This record gives sequence, structure tokens and C-alpha cells, in this order.
Amino acid sequence: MGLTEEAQLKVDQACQAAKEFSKLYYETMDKKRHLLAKLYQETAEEIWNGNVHKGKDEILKTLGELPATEHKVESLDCQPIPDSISPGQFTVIVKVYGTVSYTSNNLRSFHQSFILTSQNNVWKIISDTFRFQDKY
Amino acid sequence: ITFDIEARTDLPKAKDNFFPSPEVQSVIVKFVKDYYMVYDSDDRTGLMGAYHDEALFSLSVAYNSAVSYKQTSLATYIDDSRNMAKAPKDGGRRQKLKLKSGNQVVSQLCLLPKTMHDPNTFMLDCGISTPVMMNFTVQGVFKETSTKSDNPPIRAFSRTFVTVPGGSGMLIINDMLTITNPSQDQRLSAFKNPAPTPSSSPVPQTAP
Repeated sequence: MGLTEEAQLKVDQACQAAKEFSKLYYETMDKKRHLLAKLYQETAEEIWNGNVHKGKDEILKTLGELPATEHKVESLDCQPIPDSISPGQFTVIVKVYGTVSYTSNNLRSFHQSFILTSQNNVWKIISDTFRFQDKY
Repeated sequence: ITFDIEARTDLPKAKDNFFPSPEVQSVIVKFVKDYYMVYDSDDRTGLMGAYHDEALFSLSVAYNSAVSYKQTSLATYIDDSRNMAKAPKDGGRRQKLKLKSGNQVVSQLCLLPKTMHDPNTFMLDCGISTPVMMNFTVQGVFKETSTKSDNPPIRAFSRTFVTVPGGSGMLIINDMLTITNPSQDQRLSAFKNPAPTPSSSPVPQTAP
């Protein structure tokens, strides 16, 4: 059983969104972090290496306090959550693997997964889970 | 006298596994334990009952560019890798086939190399948990057991699941697996701690 035409269309849209999103997210994070606010939904949650941050303001505050970053994406994948599960709501999962360096720190590998949902035709992050590959 | 503009250079301390509540923790821990017991067995078709009819699965593979040792080839996985960070040679036509749905999911899992995961390396993070949906990620290492080599490759992975209520509790609706090579620390610590002895084991603990 393959995907129906309709489901395939959703997958294509999700992939397009994921490509644009990952480029935009890490560029914004690395170069103009204060603008990240526009990407998170008001009630979004972030889990950063096991620390939970609830709500856009808290997420922005903690991300803002991190040292300057430089991210490089090595792997990107995405899936839509099937229609029957979230009817009328377009939700996608974006999974990223890459490296990040912090000011005067070594290169670290990280895994990050985002859940994005469309609100008035704009993608917003509702969940963001980030963890280094290595325990530290 | 200086200026207060110095950026911080330290990172917040990491914490282990994140769960929003002990109830969610016990559900996910049990699920992961049960799942990998079958996944690491000789026959992964036993996972059929764990997936929703409309489940999606995809694999993405990349080398670890933060390590300096000579990495083991990921060639066994490359053909199935949907990694969109690399530009596809054929404009993306084959990429479409790499997303598996419904009953293709378990067939695809059966084709991946046989594995043994090291639960001592697992790190679990639960992002969303509502009555209608749960989202969590498992990170850790495994070794490939299908190889005849005395020194089977150790891989690092991160796997993100979305589950919905159904079946005997929850069913997987989205499954995204990323495979890479381990960090130096992961390489050295993998499979160093003995697996927990099953409680039903008849072998008594002997004092040293």
C-alpha cells in the first residue's frame, strides 16, 4: 500500500516547509536570534538537553542566553501527521541532525525535532526537542 | 571599568530523560522497552501490532562531522536514506519512495540490519503528551549484529515517535529514525555496563 494522491501532496508540502524552515531557523538562531520569537507559538514548549521551557517568552529568554552559535545541518527529514489523526490541522514533524559550535567551544553533534503546525497559513513551532548526541 | 556586554560562554547544565509526569514516564519507558525487545529480535514482523494502519516511517543517515576517528561506512543505509539536507541526484523522484506507509513500514524495518541496542545509553525526551497524541524521542547506541565481523559496527541513533491511542494502548503513527556514527565517548562507553538480569533468571547473584 502506497500513499494516496492526497496524502502524497501533503508529504510534498511538508517537505517544502521543512527545507525552508530548517534554513530559516538556524540562520535566525545563529545571526538574529531575537527574531526567533516569530517562529514559536505562544504556548510552545522546548526541551533543551532535558531542561523544559514553557511558553514563547521563556524559550526566547533561554535561547537568547546561549553563547553565539554556528549550526550546520547534516541531515533533515520530515513527515506530516496523517490527516485522520489531526483532521483540519496541518501538522508536520521536522527532524534534524547536525553540528553546533558555541563561542570558544568544540564542535558538538546534536539531534533536534520540531513539531510545526499551520496557523492562518503560517507555520509555528509548537514543540522543540534539542539534545546533544553526547552526554555532557 | 569594563562594559557589561560580555556574552556568556558556558552552557546550561544538561539533565537526563525528560517526562512531563511520572505517569507518562512509565507509559513511555514500558513502550520503549517492549518495542526494542522485538526490534532487536530475529523477526521484526512482531512489530506489526505496534503500528497504526496509516503509520509513516522514514530513515535519514549522515556521518558525524564532530569526530576525528575514521568512521565506519554507512553504505548499508544510504539507499534507504531520505536525508533532504543532501540534494538528490535525480531531482527527488526516488526520494518519494523512501517514505514508507502502512504495511510497508514493518517490511522496511525487516530489511534494515539486525541490531542490539544498549539500553544503558538511552536518553528519552517527551515533547507532547495529550490524551490524543504523544511525541517522544529516544537517543542512544546500538550495534549491528547481522555482520559476521568480530567487531560489529556501533552506531548512534535518534528516533522520534508520534503515537496515538489504540491497539493495546498506543499505536505508532509517525516513526523517524536518524542513524549516524557514535561520538568518541559513545564508542568507549557502549555495551560496557552489563544488561540488567531478567528478574526471572534462575541464576543466583554470586558474591565476588
